[in-house]
Amino acid sequence: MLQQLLASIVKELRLLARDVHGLGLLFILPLAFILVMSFALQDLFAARQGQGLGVVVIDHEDTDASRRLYERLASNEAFALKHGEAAAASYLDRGDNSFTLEIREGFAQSLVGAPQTNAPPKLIVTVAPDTDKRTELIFVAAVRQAIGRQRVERLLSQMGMGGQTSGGAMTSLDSSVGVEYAYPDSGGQAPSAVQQNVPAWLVFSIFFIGIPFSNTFIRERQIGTQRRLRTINLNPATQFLGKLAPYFVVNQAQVALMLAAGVFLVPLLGGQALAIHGSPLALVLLSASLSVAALGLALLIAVISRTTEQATLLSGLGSIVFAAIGGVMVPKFVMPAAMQTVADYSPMSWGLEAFLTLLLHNGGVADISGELAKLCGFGLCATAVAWLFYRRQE
Amino acid sequence: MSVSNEAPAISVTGLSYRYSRNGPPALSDITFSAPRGSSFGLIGPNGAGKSTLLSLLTGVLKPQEGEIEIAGFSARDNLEAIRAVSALVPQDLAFYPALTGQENLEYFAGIFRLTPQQWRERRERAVEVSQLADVLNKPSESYSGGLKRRLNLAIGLLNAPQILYLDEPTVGIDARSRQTIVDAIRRLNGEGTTIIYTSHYMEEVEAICDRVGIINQGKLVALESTEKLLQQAAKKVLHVTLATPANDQLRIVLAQQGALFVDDERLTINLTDIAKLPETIGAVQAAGAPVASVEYGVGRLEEVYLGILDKGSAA
Repeated sequence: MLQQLLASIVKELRLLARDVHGLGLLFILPLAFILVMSFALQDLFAARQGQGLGVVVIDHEDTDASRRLYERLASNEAFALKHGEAAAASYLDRGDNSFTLEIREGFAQSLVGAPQTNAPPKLIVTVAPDTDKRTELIFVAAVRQAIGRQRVERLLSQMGMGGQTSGGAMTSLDSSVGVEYAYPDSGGQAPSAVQQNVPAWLVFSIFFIGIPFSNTFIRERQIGTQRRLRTINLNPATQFLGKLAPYFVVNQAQVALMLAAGVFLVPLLGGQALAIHGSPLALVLLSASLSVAALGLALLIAVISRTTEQATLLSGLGSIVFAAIGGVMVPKFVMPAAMQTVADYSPMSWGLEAFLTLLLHNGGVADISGELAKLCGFGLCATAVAWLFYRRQE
Repeated sequence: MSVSNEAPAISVTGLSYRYSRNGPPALSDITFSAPRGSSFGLIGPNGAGKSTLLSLLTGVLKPQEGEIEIAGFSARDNLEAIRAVSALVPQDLAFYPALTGQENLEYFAGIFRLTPQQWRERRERAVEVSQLADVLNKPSESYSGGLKRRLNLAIGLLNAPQILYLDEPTVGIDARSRQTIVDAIRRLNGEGTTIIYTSHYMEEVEAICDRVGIINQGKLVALESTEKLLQQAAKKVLHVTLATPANDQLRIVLAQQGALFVDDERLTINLTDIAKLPETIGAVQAAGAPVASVEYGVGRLEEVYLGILDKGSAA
């Protein structure tokens, strides 16, 4: 059996080595995804880490009141304020800024007395085309709050009760709002673009192995080698193992390459380096479990598909659906609650969650044991079903 | 378990097979045997049941009714022993085009579990018999059709089979490659390998097989030695080969004299009385046909085969 297994492994590795397109699919495609998506989403993830929304303030008045408004808004870390002098639109056409805030002549005067509902506005907020409605409402609310405070301060001053709202009251108010992040154990930080994208596309590429695997399996059936092998004393289990083992090795090579790309290549290109935390043993077990799940699914698709076209469609579509609902394409933490529940049924989500637990939580084997069990269980169930189909086809 | 040397290479008794319970039988009550060292031709139209029979003999399908014994081993409970003494050369080119000939042989040697010494000996023999030495290190996808067929054969030979099943091993290749393969098979048979041969090329079956079974609609409709079958066809038939192909006018003239053309250069004429042979040949020449050679009393398997199928259809 060992001799047959070795012969099968060597044969599969030789076939893989000559399948340039298959290798490209397994290594270059996910690598490209990692690089492109890490850089493409860098700003989005960076924004979550305290780099505020860009706001350009065009102050036509330049009074104490307008300067005070600027300072008050600038003290809010959600916004990154800077001064501007040109027309509002010129600051918003490149996607660098989310808003402009124009302070018109008469702003200071408008704070005196009760607000005039019919008077023309002295503050104009211009919203960038790529700024969503929710962000717009938050910013406008922040501006209104700042104005409200300035009115109160002015009123208190006129009543001889001091010129400012008390710092103590403000602190008390601020502390009533708690801020929570999805990954509190990582020093209070959400995953960076690299930390999200490397494991995500790595998991995706592991499942993409279904395409070359099922294609070689079906081609063997089409060219008659499977029929020939059935006339030889070769146990089907050995035959399966001989086909799966090389692809398992390829999966492990994918993991090593993608992690190395995150650690070494991304920073070379100006991005943030992937920091690998957690137990190395857990990382190895996770990589192996992901491969078990992916290869079980690949085997099932190979057995039930009649043509390579069917198998390619099933593998490709299956991977994309699992990726879409599993948090690969869209991070799970930005999904609505209902979608996050759906994501829990995707093997890619199990793998990704386990990776993030290791990378962000400094996790160990015990922390990801649930995901490991689910991945192995999924792979073994898929293999068992594939085996039943295969025996029925004989 | 030891192989019984007295047992025939193949013994099939009352074999029937259906692909689905309520479907028509793919094989019905097939009985035949092939002695060790013999060469058995299995011929029949497409869909007649040849491939099903080969699949049952090689263990790809399990017998439902009837018995199969290969080298004395029952196909019901001793497939492992059967597979150890036999090999199939399938109609498909059942190897990996992306691998070289050598790599394909290495892979199947591993699957056959050859020892290093067996590998050296059998590789050398398979390559020599199949005449592949010059192309062994080239990717097999670059081979000509004939070379691919020869590699397909060489892989089967790695098992040093006592019984070799060849399923249309020369289909779709040129005459020279066909001849190379036919010569290799005759040589193997001469050295003691039992050959089970299926083909639509009747002249190959004639050249290789000492016994022929004709299968039609799942039934064995004829089972006879090749010699006897040819004798049946040889009765009172004159075969004439022309030096140049006959034109349309000549074909009409000769047809009026009772000639049946096999192709543009060969025709057969019913001749009940051998004494009329010179007269008949003279008439052909008088019609303007350049006679290259004549044969009398030599049958063609194709005629027998078509005659038996026609008889079956009429019945």
